[in-house]
Amino acid sequence: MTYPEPLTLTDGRLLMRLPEDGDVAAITRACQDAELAHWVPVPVPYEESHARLFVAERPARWQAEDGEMTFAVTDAETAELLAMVGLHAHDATMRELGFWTAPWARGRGVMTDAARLACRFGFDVLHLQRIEWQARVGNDASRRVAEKLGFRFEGTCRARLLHRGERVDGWIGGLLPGELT
Amino acid sequence: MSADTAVLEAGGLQLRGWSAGDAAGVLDMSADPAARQWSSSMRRIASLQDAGEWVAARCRSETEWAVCDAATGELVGRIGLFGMAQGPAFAEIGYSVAAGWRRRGVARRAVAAVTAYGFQTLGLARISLVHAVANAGSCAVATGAGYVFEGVERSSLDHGDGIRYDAHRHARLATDPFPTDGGSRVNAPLYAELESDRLLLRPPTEDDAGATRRLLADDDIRRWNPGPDDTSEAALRTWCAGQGDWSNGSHATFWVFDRSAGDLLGTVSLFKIDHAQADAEVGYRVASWARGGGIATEAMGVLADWAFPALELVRVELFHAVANPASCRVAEKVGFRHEGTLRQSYVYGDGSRHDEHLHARLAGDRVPVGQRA
Amino acid sequence: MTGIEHVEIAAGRWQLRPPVTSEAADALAMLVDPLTAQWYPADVTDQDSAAAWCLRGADWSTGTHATFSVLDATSGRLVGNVSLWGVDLAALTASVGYRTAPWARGQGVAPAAVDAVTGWAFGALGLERVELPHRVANPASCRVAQKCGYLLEGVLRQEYRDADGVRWDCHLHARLAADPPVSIDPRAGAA
Repeated sequence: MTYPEPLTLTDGRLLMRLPEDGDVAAITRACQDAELAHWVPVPVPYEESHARLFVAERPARWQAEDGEMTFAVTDAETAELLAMVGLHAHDATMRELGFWTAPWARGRGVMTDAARLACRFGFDVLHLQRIEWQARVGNDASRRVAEKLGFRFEGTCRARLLHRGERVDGWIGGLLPGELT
Repeated sequence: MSADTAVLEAGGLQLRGWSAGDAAGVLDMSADPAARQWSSSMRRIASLQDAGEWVAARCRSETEWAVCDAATGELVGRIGLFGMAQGPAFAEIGYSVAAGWRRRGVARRAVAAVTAYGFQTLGLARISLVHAVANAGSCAVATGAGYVFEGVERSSLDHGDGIRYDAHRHARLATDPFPTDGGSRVNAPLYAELESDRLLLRPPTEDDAGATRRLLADDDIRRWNPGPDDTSEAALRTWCAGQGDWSNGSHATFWVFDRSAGDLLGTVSLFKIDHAQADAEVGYRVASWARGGGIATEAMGVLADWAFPALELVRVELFHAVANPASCRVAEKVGFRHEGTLRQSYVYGDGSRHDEHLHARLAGDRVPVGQRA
Repeated sequence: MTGIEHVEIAAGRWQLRPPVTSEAADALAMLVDPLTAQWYPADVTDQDSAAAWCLRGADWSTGTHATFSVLDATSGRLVGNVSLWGVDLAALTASVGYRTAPWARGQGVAPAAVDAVTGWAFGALGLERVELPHRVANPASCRVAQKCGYLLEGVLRQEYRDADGVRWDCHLHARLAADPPVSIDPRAGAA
């Protein structure tokens, strides 16, 4: 299986590209946020070395069969880092959408637009047959994003997600070709 | 044999690690269409050498077992715990049963044994069981082994045949209470679609209310198997939705459609499902426009063939009024033997108390050939 | 849901009335007796569970059963139990079941009790059909059914699964309100 090289997506307002060394400081700052750490299983405490490793692994992870295609979401004008969104491979035609938004970028619909671009890329370029969304139960902001994109809620899975060694209940949803809104 | 796989005993079954000598048995198993349908690795087996490679791959695992008849050593299935790399204490269970060994509780016993091993010996916290929605037998195995239904994941299963299947996800946690037989939800499938040459059977939805009203507006149906008294659009939508909701475990009701034209032809239902007694009743209706074509026989045959293994039933009863001899012919054709004539035993839709025939089919009964799809 | 009013029925030597907890000791002895437990496993193992069983029998408020203790009319001692169960007051149908205390066997308790309850079911209660199912392997029940005018209607293969998972063929007997009368002599000898 060969994948397209990492590429840049944009809708004019947002510009999404492979994370790079210049993002390390902003990623580190964003991941200090307690709200983010509650819903997303990032290391706690989050240190700059974590961000460095994350960025360094991205090119190889992009191409790996069980890897993830990750986009740093930036402001197309100011180049400020706003969010992270990724498509994690389950199999050849199914990936899982994952994302977080930096605390300074919330409330502006950034993630909805960024995730839509990522899903469009998933269907149009990768020809995925299913994109899955999972979130820790109670993560309403994540669920709102998923539902705005047309994900259909499919179930609640007890103790399915692993958050820093703790098993938590998870929501699951699915988006099939033609359902993206 | 290299990996150190524990030997597990499970009610007449022995679960042991794979060895090179299993290749011939695996080749036999892989010839079964059902095994090929649900397993991408089995589908690739075309020769004894392929089977040997398949076995060799399993020999390396400590959590994949050959399921054997404890008495004869015959290979009757396979089972394993997978995906433990995804996170500590998580696993997914997968299994299959050889063609000649289905309907004998092999899957349920093997799943129970491996589940206990996973929680007690491996210290797992959560085991998932994911199966294609169309594979109703697995649903019964899952619920029977205490795997709680969590949701339908659309297009999530890739069996390697180019089709993505909708899947049920079930899971059992180490902390879950052990399932009790006889609980009304144990064993109960939540959904199934069945097919025969001419027919598609699926649970009704509220959108079937219009066609359902036309079906119910018939003297024979009003007399022998009436629908609800209130036939308003709203009431019928609610009723259809209720007939399609199997969640209380007491019934599995299908609306029967022409597979090509899509027209509603009738209904068939398994009801009064008693999991403790492993028995149930069946009933059906044929639309006035679909009579005389053997629809009831075909649909009831499909239903019965599905129901015995999927719900692990032993006995299914069919009652009909003696004054309704057409039902008697359907019953006999589908293998429901006449066991008795009950005098004045039921008040039918005409308000009269009727004598009834009691027919029953048992799981092991010989079924008339050529009457089924 | 309509309940059924408590009644007492006189049947010659025997008296039928709803169970009371003061007879729990005799009920326990009757239910743990192997011959009773073989056909009627009641999940009763001690005085408390026997008392609970009596209370359930005396609660007719669901309208789905009317359960009677059968007493020796002279001594007042418990000699058996008969239950009209599966009562459907809309369809006017029910089933009947019974057990005899080991100290009262061979005295015709069961036919007398079944006949009395059947008469009440068709009379005061207004039922039209009462079924008497029993395992084929229990011919004593078959004789009770025949004595009480319950016609054999069918043999139901593997109809009943017991607690051990063993399946039993069953006879289905039934009696209709309109069936010709039968004569049960309450002083008759061994069943």
